[in-house]
Amino acid sequence: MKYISLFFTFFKISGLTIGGGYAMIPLIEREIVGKNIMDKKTFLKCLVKAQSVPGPIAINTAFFVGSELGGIPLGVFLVFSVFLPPFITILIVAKFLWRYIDVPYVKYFLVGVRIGISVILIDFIYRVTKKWRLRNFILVLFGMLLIIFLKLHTIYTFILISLIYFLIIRGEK
Amino acid sequence: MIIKLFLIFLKIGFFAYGGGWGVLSIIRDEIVRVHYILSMDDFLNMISIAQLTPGPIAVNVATYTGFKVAGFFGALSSTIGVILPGVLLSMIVYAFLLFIEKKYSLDKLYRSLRVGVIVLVAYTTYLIFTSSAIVDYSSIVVFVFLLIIYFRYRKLNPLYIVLFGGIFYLILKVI
Repeated sequence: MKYISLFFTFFKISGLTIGGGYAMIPLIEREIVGKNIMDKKTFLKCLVKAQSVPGPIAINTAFFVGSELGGIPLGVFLVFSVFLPPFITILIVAKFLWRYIDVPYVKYFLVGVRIGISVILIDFIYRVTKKWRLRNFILVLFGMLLIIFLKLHTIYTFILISLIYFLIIRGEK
Repeated sequence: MIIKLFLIFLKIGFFAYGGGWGVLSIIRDEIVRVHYILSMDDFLNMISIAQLTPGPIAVNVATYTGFKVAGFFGALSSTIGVILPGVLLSMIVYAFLLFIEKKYSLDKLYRSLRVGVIVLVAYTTYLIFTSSAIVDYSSIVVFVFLLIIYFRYRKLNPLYIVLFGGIFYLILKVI
């Protein structure tokens, strides 16, 4: 019974939260910690672990919360509860709504949405890099140049830049 | 095709660090530039749809790409591909992280990955910005306006910025 109610908790959050995985985290916390299903400290530990592996943060958080509460099977079960709502939504959109994508009004609206997204992203970068040292900016700029002008694949750029940074800070305390 | 989709998104899933926005630039490289699965226009529209629908952005884009190319099973294989690396590594972490963290400090590794992620996010921003925010005068007006609003009202829900941008640009283009 506990498993089913957890499944629907995550299903509901995933299905009703618009704006990507990070927007879901506070809602998951409210449901899980707020209703005393898990204490705050354990939840934060789950969150740290979820960020230490690749993949959508909401999916990984569901996995670790589930594993903590009922072992790996529950973790996998909760992954499905986060996975299903967006999966079904996009299937519906792709099947029934995509045919309207070339209607000029729709097109303009979607361009405007992307203008909004670029503002959100600029703000995101600004907040993350506010306290950065100069060398980080130079490194990021270097990575951008590699991608844009040398057409280096983003995966290689990601590995290269992370590695260079790792070598730089390795010797520091 | 279904297996190819699965493998492409599996590869993407392994590098999907630090949230969906960075991953988008990898997805774009793989499905627009290397494998020609989607056109750039299609990809850009998908980003807008992903922001307006529930769920992680990487999951939305994977589902859509798979569906467009190979129907339901394409959608299923792409989506599972993109989340599988994370879930598998999560299982390993769940079993071993405490042990590993006692022996090595992973802090510097995570810090390095975060710098790498910012390169990817910056590139995604560059792609979206150059293809949508500076295409004509109306788009520049909307961009500057949204930027001012968002930096003045820091607590504003990003969803409103996105919706407002859409409506504002639509109005400017229609009148």
